[in-house]
Amino acid sequence: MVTEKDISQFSEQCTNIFKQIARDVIGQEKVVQGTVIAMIAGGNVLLEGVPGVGKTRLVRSLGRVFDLPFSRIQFTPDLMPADVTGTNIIVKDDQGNSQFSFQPGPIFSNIILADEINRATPKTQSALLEAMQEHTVTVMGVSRKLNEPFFVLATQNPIEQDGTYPLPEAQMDRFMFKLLVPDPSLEELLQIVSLTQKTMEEVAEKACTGEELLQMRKTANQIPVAEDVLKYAMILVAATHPEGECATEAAKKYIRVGASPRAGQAIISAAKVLALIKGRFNVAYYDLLELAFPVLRHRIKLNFEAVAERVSADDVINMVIEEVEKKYRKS
Amino acid sequence: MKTNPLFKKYHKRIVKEGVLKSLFYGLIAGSCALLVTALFSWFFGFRAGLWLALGMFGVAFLATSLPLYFFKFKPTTKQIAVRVDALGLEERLITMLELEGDDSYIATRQREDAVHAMKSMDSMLLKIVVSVALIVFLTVSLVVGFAGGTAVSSLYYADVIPSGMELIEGSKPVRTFVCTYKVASGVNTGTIVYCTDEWTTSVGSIDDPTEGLVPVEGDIEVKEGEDAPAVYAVPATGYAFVCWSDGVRDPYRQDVNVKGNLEVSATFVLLGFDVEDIGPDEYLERQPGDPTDDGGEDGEGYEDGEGGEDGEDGNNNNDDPANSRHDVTNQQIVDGQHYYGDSFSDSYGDAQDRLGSDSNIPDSVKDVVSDYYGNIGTGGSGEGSGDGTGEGSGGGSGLLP
Repeated sequence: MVTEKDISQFSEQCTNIFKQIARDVIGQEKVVQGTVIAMIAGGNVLLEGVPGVGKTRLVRSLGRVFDLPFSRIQFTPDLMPADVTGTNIIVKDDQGNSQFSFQPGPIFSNIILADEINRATPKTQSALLEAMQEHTVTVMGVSRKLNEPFFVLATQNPIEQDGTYPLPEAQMDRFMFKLLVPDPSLEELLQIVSLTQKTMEEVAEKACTGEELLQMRKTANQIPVAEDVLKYAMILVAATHPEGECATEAAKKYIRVGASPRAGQAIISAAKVLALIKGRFNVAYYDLLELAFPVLRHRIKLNFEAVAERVSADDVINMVIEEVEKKYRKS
Repeated sequence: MKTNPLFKKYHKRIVKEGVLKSLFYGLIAGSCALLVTALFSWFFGFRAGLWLALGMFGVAFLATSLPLYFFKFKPTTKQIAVRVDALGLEERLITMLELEGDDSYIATRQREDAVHAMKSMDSMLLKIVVSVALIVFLTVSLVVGFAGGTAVSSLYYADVIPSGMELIEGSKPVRTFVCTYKVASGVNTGTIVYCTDEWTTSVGSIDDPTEGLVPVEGDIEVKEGEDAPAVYAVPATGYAFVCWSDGVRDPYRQDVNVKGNLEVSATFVLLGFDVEDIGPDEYLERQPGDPTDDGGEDGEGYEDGEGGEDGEDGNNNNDDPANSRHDVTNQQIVDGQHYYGDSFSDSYGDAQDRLGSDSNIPDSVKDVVSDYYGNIGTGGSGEGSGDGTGEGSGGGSGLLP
């Protein structure tokens, strides 16, 4: 049951989180907000941006702000699944008997930074699947529960595609958001340079604990969603399916595979957090539209026509939203 | 559904909008109904079309606007909430409605938040929205439907324009028929068989080498449905008019409502031939062409034979002695209202009075006039000169006392 204390704490902690992150990360408000929303909602985030825009720094700052154990895995082509999940090794006990002992990998942490995730082979990438969805790791037939809260914050570089392995759809779907990290503006660039000239150290302080984060998630989950709004969210997701009953013209023209039901779950969970961050106690249509891009852009598979016409996923989502707005709301 | 008290100030405006929309749709439906009714009435020549169209307008207006308001445009609380939310309340109100009865803390906070946001909003921001398309459609409907329909009905009602059917009829090409009136030949010998009771004869007074004449003899073109000019079969001196070839026994005839070509000939006989006076029944039996047909069966009537219609159209085909000639249309003079026998009687009476009383008229003139009326009047009219009919025709009744 949500109490007044939970609401006020949520508000205070959010303010504090953004304040602390802003000490280390200049600009990128939308990316920061998206990442925090995903973390509160319990989702994983894929950050995509060119090198040097602060992706890794943001994740490191989040680790500090949430005061959670943080692991960084640098994905390379020769990285093996066991390097991520851990493996059984032979150890000798006090009596000198050899036995297998599980040596946890870096995934046994609360915040995982999967840096340049697309550089690892699909086999290694897939080692994250179970952890990302069920928050468990199975090694040698033994499933081990990961600590809560658990997040995978992955980064990937949209350029330098040589020697990379595009993430499989199943893994893409397990990221709640795909956030595009833009280049900083001139003003932000000035501030970044000024800041790093003094020190490269991250100065963000703890804003909330893991338990508090879980409580924030519980609080956000209690935010009511009106039936019409919920239906609209589902229509938005269904509208990305080129052959669905709500299929839009844009979807028919440019999308090969639409968003999965996880998109519906993700957009509602995230919208609740966003509403509460905005100080509202209900989800609005605007929340859904704002979150549609990070939720849907990595979940829709564009067809050849879109590629040939250089239509991006965001362009298609924009078209889908326009059509859905016209058809279901403005009517 | 009872309106939430919080929505009262918005409720009125949305009700106004609903009423306005219902009225607009009602007017559109009414105008369409009026136009259709007016056009039908005008086309089929229904005089009271204007009133019927206005009635239909009212019926369609009520039948459309009332159900529309109560089943479509009458705002529900949720619809009001949705409209107010659209002003920037970010779905606070519809969520609040769904959380009615929920006493949880989050629901209470949500309600407080919604009420607070609603109070800070000006109700005048809620505009009465009517789509441009509806306004355009309404305008067109009123101009074309209402104005056009009433104008057509009114103009037809005032006899300014003809009905649609009349217009179509008027646009059809007019058929012209030929009416031929001539004198029959070769029947002035032998025995004249006639019936004094029914057979009107005329005694000729014109000195003509033939047995008689028809003044308009020859082909006359008559438009379909119109009347042929009146003709009179005038026997020559010493001859008597017997009948027309279609059996009409009256020397005067006017064929009305002509529906086909007509060719008739007047038969005259030389007086002094053997005369066999027989009864009407026997006479009719002896007629080779069976004049009782009245020309109605195409026998000698219109060439294209319109059957019974020709008979009904009348012309001078009435054989029935029981019928008063006053009642028979084809016995009337050109204006269709006055029996020509009456006119003749009036004229005959005047002449008789003047010839008897006016001493200034020379005797020679009196003789001529007297002869004229003696010759014509005795045979020309059934009742006007009944006493001179038949055997009296020879000497006529004369005017001189």
